[in-house]
Amino acid sequence: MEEQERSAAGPGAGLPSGRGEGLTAEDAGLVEAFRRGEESAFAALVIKYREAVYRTARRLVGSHEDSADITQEVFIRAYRALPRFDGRAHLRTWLYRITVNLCLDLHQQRRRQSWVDLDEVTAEAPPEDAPEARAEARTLRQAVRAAVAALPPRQRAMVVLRVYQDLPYAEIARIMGCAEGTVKATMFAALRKLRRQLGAVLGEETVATLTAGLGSGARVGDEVP
Amino acid sequence: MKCRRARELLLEGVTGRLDPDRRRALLAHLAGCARCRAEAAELEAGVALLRALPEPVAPEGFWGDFMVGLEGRLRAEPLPLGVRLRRWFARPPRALGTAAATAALVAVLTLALGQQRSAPPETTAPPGWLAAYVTPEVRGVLPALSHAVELWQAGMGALEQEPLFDLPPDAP
Repeated sequence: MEEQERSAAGPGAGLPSGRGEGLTAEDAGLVEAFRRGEESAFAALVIKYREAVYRTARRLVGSHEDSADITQEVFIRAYRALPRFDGRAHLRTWLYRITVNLCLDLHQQRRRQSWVDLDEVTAEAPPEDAPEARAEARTLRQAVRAAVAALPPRQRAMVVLRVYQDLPYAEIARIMGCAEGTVKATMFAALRKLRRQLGAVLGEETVATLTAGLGSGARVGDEVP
Repeated sequence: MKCRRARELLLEGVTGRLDPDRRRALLAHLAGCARCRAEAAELEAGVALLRALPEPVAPEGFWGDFMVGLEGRLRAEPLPLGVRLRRWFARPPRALGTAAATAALVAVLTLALGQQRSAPPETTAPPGWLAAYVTPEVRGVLPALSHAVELWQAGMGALEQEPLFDLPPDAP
C-alpha cells in the first residue's frame, strides 16, 4: 500500500515523489501546501507523525516529559527546515532522524544519569488478571527494559526503529547515517546480547517458558501475508 | 545457502517478514544446520521479549495540550526573511494581488514618465553665448549662478530678446 502511495501522482508535483525512498504523494502534497503558506498543512503533518515520533522518543529516553519536549522540538525543527526540504528522503525518515539525534543529544547531556527512567516506564504496565501473572509480567518487563537500557544508545536506537517502529533496514541506515550492513550486524549483536542478558537475569528456563508463552515474537516461519 | 546469507534472512525473518521463496530457502538451510537453528531460536526469543513491552501511550489529554503548546511556539518562531517572502508570495491570492499592484505601479510610472518627456522644460535657458556654458549640471552645482542667470533673463536678457522699439522699415 505504501508503495502504491509512493508511486501515485500527487498534488505535490514540485517535490520528488514516487521514488522508492522519496516522499509519499500525500506528504509531498502537504509539504507543497505548507510552502504555499497553508499552516493547516503543517498541522496535518504533525497529527500524522506525532505519535510515531513520541513513541520512538519514549522508547529511547523513557520519561514522558523528555519525550514530549523532544517531540515538540522535532516539529519546531521540521517547521524551520521544511521550506528547504528537497523531498529526496521520506518525510518519516527525516523526522525519525531528527528524533534520534535529539535523543542521542539528551543522552550526551545526561551521560551520568540513567537515561531511561525505569520506574516511570514500568508504571504504565497494564494490569494482569491474576496477581501472580501480574508480578511475573512486571518482572519480565523490568528485566527487558533494563536490558534495552543497557544497550549503547545507537544500538538501542536501531533496535527501537526495527522492532517497534518496523522500519526497513535501508531506512534505518539512512536515519543512523551508516551502511545497511552495519545496521544488520548491530541488530544481530543487540538481539543476541539481549537474549543472553535476560537469560542470565531471569534464568534460561524462565526465559524459555516466557518466550514460548508470549507468542508475540516473529517466527522465522512467518511469511508475507 | 551459506550460513552468512541464512543469518541475514534470519534477521529479516525474526524482525520483519520474509517472502515465501526466501522463507522456504531459509527453512531448508535451518533444517540442515544446527548452529543456525540455535541462532534462530536465540534471535526469536530476543525479539519476542522485546515485543512483550507494551506500547508507550501518552497521558490522556496530552495531544490537545501538545498542539496548543506547539502552535504557541511556532507563532513566536522567527522565520528567515527569505522564507517568509517566498511563502507570502507563494499564496495564490497574494500572488494575484501582488501582480495586479505591480502592473498598476508600472502603468502609473510609464504614464508619468511619458508626460514628463513631452512637457516643455521648465528651466529657463540662458540665451546665446551663455547657453553653451550654463548647463543644467553647472546650475545645479552653483545655485548663485543659476540665480544670476534668472536675473539677467528678467533684465538685460529680456531687452535682448525683445527690443524696446521697432526700427522703421526704411531706416538705413
